[in-house]
Amino acid sequence: MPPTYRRHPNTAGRIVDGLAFVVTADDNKLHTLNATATHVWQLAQGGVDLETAAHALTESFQVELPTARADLAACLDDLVARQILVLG
Amino acid sequence: MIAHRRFELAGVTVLLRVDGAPGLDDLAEGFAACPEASGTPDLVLEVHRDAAFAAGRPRSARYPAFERTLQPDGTIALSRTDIELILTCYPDRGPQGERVRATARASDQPASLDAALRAAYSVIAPRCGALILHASAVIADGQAHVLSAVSGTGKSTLARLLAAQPGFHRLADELVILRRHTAPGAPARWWCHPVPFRGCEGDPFHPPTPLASLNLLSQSPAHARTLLESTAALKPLLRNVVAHVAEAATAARVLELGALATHEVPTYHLAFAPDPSVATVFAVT
Repeated sequence: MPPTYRRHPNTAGRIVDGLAFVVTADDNKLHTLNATATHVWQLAQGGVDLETAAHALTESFQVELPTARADLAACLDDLVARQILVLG
Repeated sequence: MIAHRRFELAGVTVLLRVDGAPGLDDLAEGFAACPEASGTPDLVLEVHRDAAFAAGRPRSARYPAFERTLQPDGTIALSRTDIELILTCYPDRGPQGERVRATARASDQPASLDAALRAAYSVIAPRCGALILHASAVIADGQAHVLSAVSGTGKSTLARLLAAQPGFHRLADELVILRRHTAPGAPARWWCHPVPFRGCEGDPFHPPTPLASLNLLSQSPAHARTLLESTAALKPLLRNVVAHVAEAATAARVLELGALATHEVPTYHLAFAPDPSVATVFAVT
């Protein structure tokens, strides 16, 4: 099973004019996500793995799969580091 | 002997119970402006006051800010030298119908009671459609203009400058409560309430006033007032919200209200120089 990314349970988020604003309650910080991260954050509501998210990105942003994979890997690492998503 | 008072503050019904001297005798004068309430409380705050409570307790470098901890049982612990406050937020309602129950041990100093009340209120308010905001406020043409900024930006100076001009009245100096009111079949309306807390100059006895604008301040050599998109306004606005966020439910309420406010209330970046001509940017008749 590939690792699944989910929203961190102690966060709250909202889409405002197409961009996600996420509060991480542990450190009381507000994060503004870019378009790619917003898309990932929406996918992560029910849990998503990298490959599924990459395919979704190719459809939404008209990018090639290898590009989507590379962008997503960095994006997911960043979202996990900021405790917006959790892995597992 | 337990002293108690049930009152309404910006649409939130608060039941305050205090044991230990001096009871409620030193509650800030501004609370006299809060009408007595009946019915189910939104917030129950029980405070045990003890003259010896703060003795020997360490003073954090962050004082008067609280240390905040989300506890394993889901309660929120707020702590500082003179107060230990435990907040229980109910997904539905608590034993007395309350949404938030807070119990505090505090020193007998007036500032301790006030800080416990302010902290507990900051958690219940978003659940009732209200936010505490670091801001001054003025009234012009019967509507409130909120001037929000971090400390040191000059929000008090600006409010005083404006209040000295014809047509302006100073409502608040340090904090305001913004409240979103909805009624069936009518669009949501936002109101600006003065706060009754200690150390907040202004006019706590002024009635709530319809909110005309939110203004996020910075100092500049020249005045300029620029309307902001919601996406640009939300982050700086939320930076100035006073809320003890430690869990997702409170965060979600604060975020929701902030987003609604920046959508429904004209929100500006106001760059200003500290001189009276700043009044011209408000186009008051």
